[in-house]
Amino acid sequence: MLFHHLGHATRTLDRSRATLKALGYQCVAAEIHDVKLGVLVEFWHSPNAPMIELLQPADPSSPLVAILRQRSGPYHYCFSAESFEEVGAWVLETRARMLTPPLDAVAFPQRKIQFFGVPDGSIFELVWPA
Amino acid sequence: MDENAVRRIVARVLDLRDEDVDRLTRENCATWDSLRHIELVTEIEDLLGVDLRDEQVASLDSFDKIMSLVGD
Repeated sequence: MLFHHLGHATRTLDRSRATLKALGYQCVAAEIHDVKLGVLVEFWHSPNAPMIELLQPADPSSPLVAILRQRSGPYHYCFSAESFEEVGAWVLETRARMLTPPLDAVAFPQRKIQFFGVPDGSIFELVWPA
Repeated sequence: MDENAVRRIVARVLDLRDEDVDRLTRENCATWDSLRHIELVTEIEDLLGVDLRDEQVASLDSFDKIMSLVGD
């Protein structure tokens, strides 16, 4: 598995942009609307730090609203899988459970993403192999 | 199986008092979201020494159902 990005929940994208810019990040994909997940997302890249996906609720019914009730900030880790066997092995080893079925990745054409919950209560997103 | 052990697990994972778990369901408990459910299921699996199937996991949506599973 390769680390892909850290998912950062924010009430508004605009409120988080200045913080990332001041840390040397640049926006590489702006305001993508993922209708199925109910979020607006942006990807921010830095040569010296992990990629960050900013996520803002797209509407009041977005699942992100419940997460933001707790706090804004990092809330999921995303890894890219190189094979289906790798995904299966990871699920078995971590006892991860599906939070979503595989979904078309709006931000990664031809790829699917899937969210899992793991026993410590944290969230992992996997990008499925092409 | 010690009902109190199960009660303590449910209370701890869901941030409740032990005495508040009776009649608890996913619907009536604000803290029982999908992530807490996974934590809860994992602890029940560890307690019972079993691996639950996805259908069983989905069906454990109340304290009563958890107790029924544990009692089987």
